[in-house]
Amino acid sequence: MKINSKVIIDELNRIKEKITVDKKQEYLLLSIKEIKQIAKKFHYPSKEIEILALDEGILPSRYQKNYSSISLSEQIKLLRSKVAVIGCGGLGGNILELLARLGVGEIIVIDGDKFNESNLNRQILCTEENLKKSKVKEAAVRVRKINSSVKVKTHTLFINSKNIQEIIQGADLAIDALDNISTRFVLEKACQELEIPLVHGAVDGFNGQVSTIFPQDQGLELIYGSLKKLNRQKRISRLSVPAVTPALIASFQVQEVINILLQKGKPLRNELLFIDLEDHDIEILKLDK
Amino acid sequence: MKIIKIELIVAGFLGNSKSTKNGPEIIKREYINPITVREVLTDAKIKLRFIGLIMLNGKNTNQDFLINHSCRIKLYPLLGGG
Repeated sequence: MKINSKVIIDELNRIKEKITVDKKQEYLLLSIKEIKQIAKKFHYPSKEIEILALDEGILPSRYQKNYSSISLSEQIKLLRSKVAVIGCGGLGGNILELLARLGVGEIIVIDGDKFNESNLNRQILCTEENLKKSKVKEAAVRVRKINSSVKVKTHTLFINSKNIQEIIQGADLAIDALDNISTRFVLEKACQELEIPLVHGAVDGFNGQVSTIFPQDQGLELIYGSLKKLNRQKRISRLSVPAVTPALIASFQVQEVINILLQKGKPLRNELLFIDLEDHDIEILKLDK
Repeated sequence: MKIIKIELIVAGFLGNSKSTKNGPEIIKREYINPITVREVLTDAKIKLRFIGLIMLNGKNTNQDFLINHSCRIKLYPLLGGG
C-alpha cells in the first residue's frame, strides 16, 4: 500500500507536543509510543516516521540528547545511513550498541562465532544467559531492544575474499572489528573495490589503535607492513583484552563513523591514533604515504 | 669516526618494565657502522614478533631500514585483537 507522506505529516503535526527545553532552545518532541502508533496506523516503517518527523522539525524523544551535537538534518542523515560491522566481539559489540543509540538506520553485522565463557570479560553482548548462542543473532536482539527503528541484517559466517564484497555491498562504510590481522587485509581490499571508507580498530592488552582508510589510501600496509612480510616474520599480537580497551577504541571508531557520515571533523586518514590506557597516553602518529 | 647514537623508546605493552613515574623506558645504544633497525632491536633484546609500528624520528619505517645517523626510534606493539 502506497502511503502519501503528507497524510503522515498531518498526523505528526496533529499529535505533536510543544516542549520548552530552556529559554533559548525549544523544539517539538515525539515519543516512541507515538511513533509506533503512527507506524502501525499507516503500515509504515518507524524509521521513515522518524525521518518525516525530523524533516518537519519534530524531534523523536530518543534523539533529544543527540540534539545540539547532532542537528535534525544530521540525524536524518544518520537514519538514512547503512554501515557494516565486521566482527561482533569486544569491539563489534560496543560499536553496535553505540550505532543503535545514535540512530544509524541500517546495520549489517557479520560474525560466524558463538559466545563462550572467555568472552564474558569484555564482550558487552555476551552474558551468562546467551553462552553458545550466535553472536550476530544476539546482536540483532540487543539492537532491537535499544532502537527498534534500526534495521539489522545479520550474517552468521566468517568473511573471506569470496563472500565479503557481496555482503557489505551498499554500505556507506565498513567498520573493522575483526580479531586477526590477515582478515583485515581481506576486508580492506573489498572496501577499496567497493570504494567505501573503512574504519580500522584493533586492541591488545591496555593498548588500542584507530585509523580511517579511504579507498585510495595505502591503509593497513602503513600500519602493519605487507601481509606477506608480516606472516614471514611471524609477528603476532598477544590477544589479551581486558574490557576497558575495546570499549574505548569502539567509541573512537564510532566517532570516526559520525565524522565520515556527517562530514564533521577530520578523519584519521594516514594517521594512527594509539592509546595506552595504563599510562594515559594518547598519540596521533602520522603515517607516510 | 662518527658514532651513531640510537635511543629506543618502547610504547604500550612492549615496555613491561617502564615506570609511569620516570617516564617511558629508553634504551640507548651506540654503533660505529650503519646498522639495520632489526639488528638494533635484536641487540636490545626486544622481541621482534610483538613489534608493530616503528617510528624513526617521527616517521614510520620498517625493520630492514639501514640507520646511518643518530636517531630516536619509538616502537609500538602489534595490535590485532578485536
